[in-house]
Amino acid sequence: MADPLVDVRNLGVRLVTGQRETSLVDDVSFTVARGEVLCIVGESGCGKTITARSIMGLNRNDRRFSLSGQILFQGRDLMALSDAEMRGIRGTGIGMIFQDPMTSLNPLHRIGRQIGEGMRLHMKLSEAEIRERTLLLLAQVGIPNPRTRIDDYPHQFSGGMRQRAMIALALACSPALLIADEPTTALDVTTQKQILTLIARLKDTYGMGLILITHDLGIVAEIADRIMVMYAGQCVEVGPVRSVFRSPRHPYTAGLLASMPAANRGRTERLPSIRGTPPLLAEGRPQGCAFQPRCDFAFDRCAAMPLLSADDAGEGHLDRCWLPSGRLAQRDAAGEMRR
Amino acid sequence: MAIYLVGRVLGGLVTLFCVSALAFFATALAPGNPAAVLLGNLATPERIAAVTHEMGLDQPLPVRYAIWLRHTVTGNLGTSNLSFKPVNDLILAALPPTLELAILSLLLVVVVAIPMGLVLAQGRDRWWARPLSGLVTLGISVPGFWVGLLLIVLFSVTFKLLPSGGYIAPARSLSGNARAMVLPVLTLAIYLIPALVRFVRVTAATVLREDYVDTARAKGVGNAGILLRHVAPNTLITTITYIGLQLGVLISGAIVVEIIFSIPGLGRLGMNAVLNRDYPVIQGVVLVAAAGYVIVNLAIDLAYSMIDPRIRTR
Ligand SMILES: Nc1ncnc2c1ncn2[C@@H]1O[C@H](COP(=O)(O)OP(=O)(O)OP(=O)(O)O)[C@@H](O)[C@H]1O
Ligand SMILES: [Mg+2]
Repeated sequence: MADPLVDVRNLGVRLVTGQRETSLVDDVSFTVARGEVLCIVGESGCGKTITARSIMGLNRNDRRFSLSGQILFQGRDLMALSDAEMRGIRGTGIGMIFQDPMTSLNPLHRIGRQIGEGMRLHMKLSEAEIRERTLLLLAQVGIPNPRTRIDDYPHQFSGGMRQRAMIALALACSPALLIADEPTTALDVTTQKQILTLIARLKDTYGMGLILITHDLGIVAEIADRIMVMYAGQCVEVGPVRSVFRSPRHPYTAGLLASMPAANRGRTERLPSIRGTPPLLAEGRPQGCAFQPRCDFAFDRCAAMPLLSADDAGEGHLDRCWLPSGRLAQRDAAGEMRR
Repeated sequence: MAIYLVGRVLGGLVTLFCVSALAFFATALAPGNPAAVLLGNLATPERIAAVTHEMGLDQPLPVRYAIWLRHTVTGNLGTSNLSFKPVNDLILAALPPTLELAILSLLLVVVVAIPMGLVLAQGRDRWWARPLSGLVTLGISVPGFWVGLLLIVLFSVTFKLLPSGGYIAPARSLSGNARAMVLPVLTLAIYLIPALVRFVRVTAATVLREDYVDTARAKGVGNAGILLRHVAPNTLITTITYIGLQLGVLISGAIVVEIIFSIPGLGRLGMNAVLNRDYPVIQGVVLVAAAGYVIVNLAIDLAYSMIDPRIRTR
């Protein structure tokens, strides 16, 4: 764990539209090591996708976005790289799987050609070798009869198969880091489980670091090493998954965990949810703690923005809340979080 | 796939039939008696009646249509009321200049407008994008053939470099033909290019926002690869259909250009026929133009179904 694969430091993403500037991602820092799984969770619109796309540099040439901070990948600052250098990292260093497999494959190209395109660019392989590796990849991601399916077009694949093909495509050049942005949101429940299991298994096979963006805390509990909770474009809590699940320190994290269906809870009981909605960042960031209007624990200090800090030494469990760490656990035990 | 094609062919035939009926009745019902036009200042009531009878114009309309249709289907478009030459011969003679004008212009339009639209879409943040887009907008708003007239003034009147009109068959003189066609082709192409550039630019801009373009970028594909391998094919598939639909504009544009440059083509033949109420020629020209439109669109459908795997592999 000494040398992180990717080390994001104080990432900020601002959206510039005309005269207005809004901050979509603010001061986000995290690291992922080889073989480690970091899950990013948070309500819709809290900046998870933008964070992922920033690592991949997909918005670096979009004039509307201005990025700040550092993204160190294997020691190199991706933001300082030229476009050509960044292209060399994409696919080989970092692979990415997108949310919607129905639209993320080119409808006019055969599956095999799309998987092979990255290899053709980055690897010194003959056409025959590329085809062999493509077949191997298709088999690895669980496509039956790869030899007959390799020349299919995307529309001949089901949603689950397309996402499997997407995984094969992302892994084609054996990247060191895989980013999966809600890779199963568009799929049905049984397929979701299969795809996530597949991603987790391939992470081990390829010894990659994995950044998984998801809404499913059950999955997080199962496969994550560390979890980062985002709220309104900020990291509000980050740490080892067991520590965060056992003793959440930010009321937002506690709220998310409380809204998680658990096996030991009765089916009929209504799941608690966090009241209110997240702020619309396009209308400007609220003063102080962004969660304050929805928080049951707000007190006078919350008018000022808390810093991301550790309450106790070690473990790397950080939170962005003024509340002393013990307080939340006491109140939660008293059942006050449940509504 | 086969069913799809048979359906398309049948649809084309139905279109042609409707156009033929329209061509016949629109001309037959137009006011004015061709016999009177034909006789000119020799016309007396008796002579008009005699010629009308001779031309079969005194028969009931459905009968005239049936006769005309039978002749048309067998490939006989009748005889000109004016020159008494077979309409078939007149059209065959007028076809080459028109085809040459249309094909060369279309080629020029496609070769210029498609790359320009693609590059404008991808480079919309570059410094040259704004002035170029402005030029395209200007091109769309300038009235039809103003540029062509300017070209004539510049190249044939002022510099005396190129002929301002007329047509020389390539068989007679290849260089003469080329010199004669430069200005007409340019005029027609400049008239058509801006609209196609705009269409391609807008379509390509939409394609650039597609998720699979992000996928390609995430693979490390560069701008050129994105444009050529991903954006261009997906843009072209829509553009082909658009070009087919714009064929009517090409045909009507060709007519105007033929008249501006006095090219003895289909457009000028039809125009003169209209001025002289030469019904058989009008009907023949309309029919040939419609057939061209139907055939080209059929070919485009065919090409489309071969290019787009979503149709081909169904
Ligand atoms: N291209 C864009 N232009 C303008 N605003 C954007 C753009 N992309 C994202 N945003 C804004 O940035 C904020 C964060 O978006 P993001 O897509 O990162 O959220 P998310 O956490 O991934 O949500 P979800 O769970 O719904 O995927 C949102 O408020 C969104 O409206
Ligand atoms: Mg998202």
